[in-house]
Amino acid sequence: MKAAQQKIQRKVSSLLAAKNPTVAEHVACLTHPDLPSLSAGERLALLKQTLGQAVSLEFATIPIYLCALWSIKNNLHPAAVSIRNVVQEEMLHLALACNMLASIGGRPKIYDTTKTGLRYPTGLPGGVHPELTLKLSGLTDDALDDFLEVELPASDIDIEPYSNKYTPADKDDKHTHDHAHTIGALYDAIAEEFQSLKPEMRPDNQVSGPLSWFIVDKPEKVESAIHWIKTQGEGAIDTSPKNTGLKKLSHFYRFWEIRKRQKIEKDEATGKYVFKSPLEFPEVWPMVVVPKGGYQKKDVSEDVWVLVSKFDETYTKLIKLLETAWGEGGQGALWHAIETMFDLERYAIPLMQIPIPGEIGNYGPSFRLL
Amino acid sequence: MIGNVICQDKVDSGFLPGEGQELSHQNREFLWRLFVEIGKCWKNVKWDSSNLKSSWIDLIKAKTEFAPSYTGEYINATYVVQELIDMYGEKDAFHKLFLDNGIPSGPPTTRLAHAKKYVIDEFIKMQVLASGFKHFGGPNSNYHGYVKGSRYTLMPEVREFIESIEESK
Amino acid sequence: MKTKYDYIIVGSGVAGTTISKGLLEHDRNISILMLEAGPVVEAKTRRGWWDYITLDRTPYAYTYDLDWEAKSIGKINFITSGARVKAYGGSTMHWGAWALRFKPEDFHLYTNTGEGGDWPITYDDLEEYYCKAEEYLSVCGDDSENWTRRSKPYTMPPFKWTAADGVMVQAFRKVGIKPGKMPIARYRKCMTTGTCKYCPFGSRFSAQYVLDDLREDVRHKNFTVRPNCVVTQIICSSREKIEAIEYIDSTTGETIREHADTYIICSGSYETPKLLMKSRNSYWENGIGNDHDLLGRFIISHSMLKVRGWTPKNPEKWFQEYDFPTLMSRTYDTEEQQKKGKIFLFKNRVLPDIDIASLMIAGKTPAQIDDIVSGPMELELQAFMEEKGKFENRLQIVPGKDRFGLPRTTVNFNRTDEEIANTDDRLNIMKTVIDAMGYKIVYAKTEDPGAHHTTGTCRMGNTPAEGVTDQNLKVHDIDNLYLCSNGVFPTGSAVNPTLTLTALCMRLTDHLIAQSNGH
Repeated sequence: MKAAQQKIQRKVSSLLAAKNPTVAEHVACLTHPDLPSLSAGERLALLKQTLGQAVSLEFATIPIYLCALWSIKNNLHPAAVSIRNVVQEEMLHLALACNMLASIGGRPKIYDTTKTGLRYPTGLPGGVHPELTLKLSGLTDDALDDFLEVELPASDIDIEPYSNKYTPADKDDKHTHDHAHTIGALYDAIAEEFQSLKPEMRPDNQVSGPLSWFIVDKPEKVESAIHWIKTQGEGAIDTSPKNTGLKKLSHFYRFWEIRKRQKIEKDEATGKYVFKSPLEFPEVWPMVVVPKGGYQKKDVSEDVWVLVSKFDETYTKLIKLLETAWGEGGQGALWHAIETMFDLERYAIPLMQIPIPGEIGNYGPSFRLL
Repeated sequence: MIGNVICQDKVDSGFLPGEGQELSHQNREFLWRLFVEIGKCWKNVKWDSSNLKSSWIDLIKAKTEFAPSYTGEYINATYVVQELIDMYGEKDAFHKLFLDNGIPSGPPTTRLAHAKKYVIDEFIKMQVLASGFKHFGGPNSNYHGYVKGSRYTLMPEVREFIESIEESK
Repeated sequence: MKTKYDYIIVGSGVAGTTISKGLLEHDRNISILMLEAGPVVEAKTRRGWWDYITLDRTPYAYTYDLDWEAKSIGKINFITSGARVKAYGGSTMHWGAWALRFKPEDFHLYTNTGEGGDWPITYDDLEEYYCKAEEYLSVCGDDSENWTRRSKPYTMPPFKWTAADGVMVQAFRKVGIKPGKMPIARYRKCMTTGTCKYCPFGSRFSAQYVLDDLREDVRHKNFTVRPNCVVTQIICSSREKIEAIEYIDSTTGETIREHADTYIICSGSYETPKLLMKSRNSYWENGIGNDHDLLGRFIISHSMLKVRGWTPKNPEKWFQEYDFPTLMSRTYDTEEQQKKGKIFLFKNRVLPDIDIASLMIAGKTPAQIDDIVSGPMELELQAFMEEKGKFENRLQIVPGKDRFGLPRTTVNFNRTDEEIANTDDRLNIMKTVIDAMGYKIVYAKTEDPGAHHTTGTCRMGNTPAEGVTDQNLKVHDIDNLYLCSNGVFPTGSAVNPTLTLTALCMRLTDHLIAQSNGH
């Protein structure tokens, strides 16, 4: 075997055995010109692991968006409606990624109580954006800046110049779109590999219906799934309002409206999309950033602990249900998971209403897996 | 009535026993094929039936893993349908089974009648509620048993009555 | 096992559950024993849902009364079968979740008409509790409709009218009836499956879910629920004091006595009076609280009036898309209509009933189905009509037990000629709507009353001669016995009772807490 081929084989083997592989490493392997020299089994294993990483990426932002959503007192406020749309679309992306993984015999792994498992505060999985930390907090401008950074499109940003604490206007913005490109490249690499490898794709352990749009059992459906994910969310290419329209704004522009306190509208005179009518910032419960490790029993009152622990129990149940939905649990497990998601609110919202003694701000859910 | 010795075999009208039995992989594949034929006959799936498979699997799982088990009925249905395919060819077999089976009304007293009542009819109900209803009539958005899911952010929940301001005064 | 509870609550339906919740929220350590005659029926099972879809069968239907368990013996057939769920969680397992307030005049029916009864409380006494009940049950509704005064908006926006409602909405307007949106008790997780009778997501309020939460809360160390335990006797130590409850554990056959400071009977409008009737002793020879023979009397429910219309074509190819009506009106649910009989109007929840699956099962081709779907269509306007309680209309216990160990029942229900004539008059109003739709009238009829909304059987009253309980639901002349079910209502209004019952429960809970605090 040629040296180059041996090299790629070692790289892939090492990647498959790594504890915390990065997205960039996966993309590098999947797009390596010598990848076709590997066996179908090795390539399939790599594709599954890469999809597993996509699943982690899609999941990671859901808890932080949920905290922001739940902190809004009036759940019919336009900001709440907008963020709820984002959460629903993230769930859809998660489900599509899980469907792609299940189509080739993989199973999503979200329940992980080891050191590699998701714990907040956290960076984006796969080392996608090392400077960015995802924190559990109520809706604030600081949180919105983080959301905007997560959802930054890979292409130029329309409407007006954008800057934030990660790339202030006066700094060289070379890295601004790097993580967006990385996520976009991840999905592109996945799509390419499905086309190239043409693995057997089965519908059997996939789920359609609530929060999951369609089964992915052909390579062209992989293209559709990835198109959905990239158009609505992270890794997005051309998601300016002129392409999506106002009813299907991408996540970035939704968050930007709330941040700017203005709705995006089309200026009839110029035909351009601009920030126009005011969008009032909603009244929120002042949930503070949940400390690392979450709230501990010894530090809080019994009533707070009941809410904190019931939330964690329910969250754990939700994650296990989600995993099993793409396994033995099937669609019934996904329905149960959806109901359980609503159950989370029953503990999260009362928590957010309780001030923390001696601090300015209120409690919030810890999203700990038990 | 269509069919021959298997289809017309007389059986008790009560549930065919299924406790303690399991469906084989082959049984499941056959039953799925039977389900897919529903969409072909009534042309009421948009692309193919694969989007309905997770609902179908949920139905089969629920009906075979909890009492009273349908496993006996499902296995019976595979033999019944196979006989029809052997006799009439695939296309005509399903046409006759769905649209022209000659089963008399009343409790099911033949294997064919059992297959129709406990398997085919229930598959039809599932198929219709899972989205098959959308192909009949207008753009009706909802149906008894249909779960809107992710569509509820992008599509209306039901067909709404929208009246003008003048009408509402 | 505790020797004496703070409360024994008989019945695990919405009443017992709501009171338990309120008491526990006030004091997590309070000791409550809840006894339920029926079994636990599991909710939200996959097999249960699929059987409901494919066989129209629900897991709790076996607890419905059979004909021999509850017989109608009057001239009007009072239908008990299918009306109540005898299980953990009670009848909110299967209710339609329509959640409407009574109106102010409903509390003064006798004063206004000389018939029926008066409540010893007013709408205003209950208004703040209606607001709390609506929040608790998660009722959605349209605040702008203004059917009755309210101090807080609805918790959630209403379900909108469906396209199939449109022709009736327009007809309502033509004949001077104001169209409204049905208030429904549903949570935001509703996925509009239309399978409310066995909701796979638990989106429609059911007392069972609340009970499960109460039992699972680790702080509620002294909250006990015992299903399959049928209470057979209330034991008095004196005329004024209840000493114990006696029940049979159906799973073991054991007879057990339990003691509490306070007893609350929340067994619905049938079993609440029946238990008191059955509990005879030297202090109460005719049954507890029954010196004036009011238990079981004044029984009423709602009859359903129906006018069906037919039209030759359904060009828009409508189906009925929800499992509940979205269009309703309270235009004839007013004080002016009390004498003749109020009606609460709503569009039939299942029409146009285009059952695509049945057509396919019957072997119809796609073209035939298309023709049927766009062919003749029927819509129906329905109404609940208010009944007025009469002394001679009564519920009684008869020898023998039902499958759950509860006494068998008879109901003797009759109407006067004037009431029957009034019903026809109401039907004529409804016919004008069908006419205004341009539909042909297929029938106009009054169905026999179903027992779903039974009230009056242990009514409230200011004195023992007027009612079994006082305005705080305490049985007259007994210090520690309360009743909380639809049976305490002196009137039934024209709307469903559950929201009002829930409000009464919350009011009673406040009263019990105040009592325990020495107020």
